[in-house]
Amino acid sequence: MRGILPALVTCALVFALVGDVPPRISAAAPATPDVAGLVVSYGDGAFSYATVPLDGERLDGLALLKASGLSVLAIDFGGYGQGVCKIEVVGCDVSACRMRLCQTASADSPFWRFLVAGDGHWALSPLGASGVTAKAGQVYGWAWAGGTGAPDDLPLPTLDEVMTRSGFERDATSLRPALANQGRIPGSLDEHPAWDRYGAAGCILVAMGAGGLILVRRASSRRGEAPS
Amino acid sequence: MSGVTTFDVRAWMVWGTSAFLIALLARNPFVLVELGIVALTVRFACVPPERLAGIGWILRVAPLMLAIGVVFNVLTVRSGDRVLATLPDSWPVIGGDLTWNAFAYGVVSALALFVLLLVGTTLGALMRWIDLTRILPQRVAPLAVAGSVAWVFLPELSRSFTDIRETMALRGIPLRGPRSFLPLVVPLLAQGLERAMTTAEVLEARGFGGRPVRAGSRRAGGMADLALIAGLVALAAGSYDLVSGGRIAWPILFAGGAAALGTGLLRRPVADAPRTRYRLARWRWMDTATCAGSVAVAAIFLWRWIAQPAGLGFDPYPHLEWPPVDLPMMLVMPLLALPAAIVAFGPGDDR
Repeated sequence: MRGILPALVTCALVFALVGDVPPRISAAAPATPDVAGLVVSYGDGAFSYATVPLDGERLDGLALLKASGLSVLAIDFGGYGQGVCKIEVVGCDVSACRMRLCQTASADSPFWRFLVAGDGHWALSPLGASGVTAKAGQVYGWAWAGGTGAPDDLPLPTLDEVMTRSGFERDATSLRPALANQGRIPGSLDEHPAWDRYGAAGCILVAMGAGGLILVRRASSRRGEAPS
Repeated sequence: MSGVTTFDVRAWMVWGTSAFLIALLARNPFVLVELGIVALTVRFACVPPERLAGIGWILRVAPLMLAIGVVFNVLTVRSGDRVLATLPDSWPVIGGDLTWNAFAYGVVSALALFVLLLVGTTLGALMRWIDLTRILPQRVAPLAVAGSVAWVFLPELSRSFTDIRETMALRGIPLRGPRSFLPLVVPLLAQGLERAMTTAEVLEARGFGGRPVRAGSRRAGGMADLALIAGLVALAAGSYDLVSGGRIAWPILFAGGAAALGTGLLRRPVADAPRTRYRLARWRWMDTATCAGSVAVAAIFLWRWIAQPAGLGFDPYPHLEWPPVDLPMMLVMPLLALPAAIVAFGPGDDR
């Protein structure tokens, strides 16, 4: 019996120690998932949240944005990398982007800026999206905003919040990017004209062509009647 | 009263400014096609037959412009949701996705260039150099005369070249290689110098470039110079604002600059040399109507461009969709064809 008691105590201590380990492991695993979060602010109270699995790939900030499933218009700036002109329907066209990256002469003129979530704040990335390698567990931001520094209205969620808002399936066997929009993206596709406007435009063009033909024929006949 | 109607050159300048404004700023295919129809109508209705060159060469140039615009755009812009083909990424510069979006934008850019060319050639056929020279202020008249003389030299140079080459061929001197051009260049240069001397003597005999008879007050000259400088500064600032994407300030700066430049040129004391005019241009109701229509179109275009720029553009990135339709702009554009309507149905020319 004397030999049993110390053995039981030892076993109890060992079990207590060993039993303490699994919770530590299970708590650490979801803290560093192999995904990166994205927050996109369209400048009008509309946001997109995306979670992108990295799968060990080396993605830069722009590749991460494209992998999220958002439509991106970006053009090459040679050694400076690529510049983002438009995300979804917010931004500028290629010619304005080539000239000045969507900015006008105004200091508050917006452009797409790339941000990295830090300790309780957003920080502008000095290297730009092409020069940053996405890290697992990190949240990145894109904001259509002017001025200097990070925009005030850009929320700073944790990666867990981004995963939740984007509808990311943590327990799926194969991780897939998740994307969700919050609010209505300004200038969305449903603002485009209906088909009746195209019909009207076609009628105007046909009428212009027919009218032009009549005018030219009439002018030619009058010139023909004129004494030379 | 004859059936031929001619407009004042100033009216055509206003018409051209309005048409150029639209051709330069709009990228909407509907608006561009409509402007092209207007330009063709005005071209064939208003240009006198003796100055009406065919548009065959423009139509021959159009496919080239289309090809350049499309190829350049497709190879340099890789964005868009409709992939046409994919070049290997290992290919430098051109590797990557080629998209229908870039193709569509290239086609619209080529269309804009074609319409611009059409408007420019139409305006060139509608206006005569001599009429432009007549409306210039006295201060810039010598510059216009010098430009006119230089312009006339070009066809004469071409004729001299042909004459000398034929003379050389008659004497058995063929043109083979760069060395054989030496005997051609020397007489060509001699003829050019002789022609220049003759022209200079003719101009001198007519008092061209003489000293001003009445120089005007120094104070008036100083004010005019200030107005000229202010006008140039305003135009430069307006250009900067336009290039840097401003939408409000540049029209004001351009208008103010043009007004200041005009004031400076008109108020500047000049030589009191009389000008001989054998035919006085008269401003008539049809010129007023043309100007009013053109200004109305330009004003509405600028209003739409500032208020709803997307309606006058075409942006196929990142989604390729049908371009927007700006009905107010399309409905007002026929006013630019007013000169053609006047020629076709107006009372005719009584100049």
